[in-house]
Amino acid sequence: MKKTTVKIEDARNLLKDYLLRLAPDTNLNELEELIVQFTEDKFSKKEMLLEAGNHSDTVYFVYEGLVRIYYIKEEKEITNWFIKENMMFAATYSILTGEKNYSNYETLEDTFVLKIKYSVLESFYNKYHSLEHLGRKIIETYYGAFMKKTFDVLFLSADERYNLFIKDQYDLLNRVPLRYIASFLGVTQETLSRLRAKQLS
Amino acid sequence: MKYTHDLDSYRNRLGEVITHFSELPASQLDEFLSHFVLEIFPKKSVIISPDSKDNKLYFIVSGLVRIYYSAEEKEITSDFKEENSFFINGYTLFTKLPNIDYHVAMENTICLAADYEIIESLSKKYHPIEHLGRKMVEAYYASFLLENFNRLFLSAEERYDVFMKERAAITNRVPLKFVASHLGVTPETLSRLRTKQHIQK
Repeated sequence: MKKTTVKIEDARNLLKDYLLRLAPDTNLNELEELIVQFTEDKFSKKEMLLEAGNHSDTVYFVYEGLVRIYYIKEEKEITNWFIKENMMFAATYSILTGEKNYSNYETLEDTFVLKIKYSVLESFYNKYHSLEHLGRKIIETYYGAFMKKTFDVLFLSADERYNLFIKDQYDLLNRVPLRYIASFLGVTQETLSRLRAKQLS
Repeated sequence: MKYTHDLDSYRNRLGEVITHFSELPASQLDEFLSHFVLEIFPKKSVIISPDSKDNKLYFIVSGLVRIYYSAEEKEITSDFKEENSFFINGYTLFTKLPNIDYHVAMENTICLAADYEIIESLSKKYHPIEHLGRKMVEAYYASFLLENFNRLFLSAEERYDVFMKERAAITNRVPLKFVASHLGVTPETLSRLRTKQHIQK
């Protein structure tokens, strides 16, 4: 029991640092007031956190663990994101467009998250100027990341995408089944093996 | 007689358009609008290019802007911006990386433009302007996500139908090859879809 309390405190501290990196001028008292609104949730490995075809208005911050986001097209699973500790995720498509979410969110490890309803976040944006600024920076950051991913697929070769991936997220090579990484990089598993062998030699 | 521009009426129009995102108190609206100045781009001029450090928010008073990038020696039209819409060098602003796309005037285009830094400082000064900024970024991210969804899950025919329902007028203003590229189909497929739709009417 005591242990869990410590964990949520640690998670909230990590979230605070994360948000302050996005918007360093955020008022600390206002930020504290927001952060205690986040509640904890736990998921076991291979648990479905959010399923395609539903609406969702929850924003998550991963303290521990790993989540894979994928969609199914022509009966094939396409992995488009890995979300590990110290990252946020949400069914942004569903939240911003009001449409049903098309991705599946599945844990690849036991995962401990903090979560909050987007409507609660927005009520704090409306209440405090510096939190609204933070909210804009969060959206801009994720918008930017989405654009970058879209363009990386178009502009970079498989080699370059692989090198970028291991530069940014080397640890995932040991945490994620290679077929998901291949799907994320848009290459076959054979190509991924070849790229790995090349890099190791 | 030389055509004169009525800056006040342009600013009033910009004021009306931003009201769709969020209402500003009159004095803040006036201050916001006062920072927008006239910029005129003759047909075919390049407004933003790759590696451009352009750092302005543009509002189109009249004219049409095409956004495209080149990948594997092919030009891909990602979007068109018409009267009463906004554009920015979003990739660079939100990723802090060098830009990769072009914004080109397809017609003589009249814009109002303001330095993004000024918009940022106004956002910092006034909560309602920060709120407006968040709402605008969210709205543009939402349309980016919808576009992405359409590309992933709709057939060429469905994408064409969505385009004709929402933006049919553009097909009379730009060469159809750009519309085809935007829809991700060959010009031949687009002609076929257009004939089919024509017959059904």
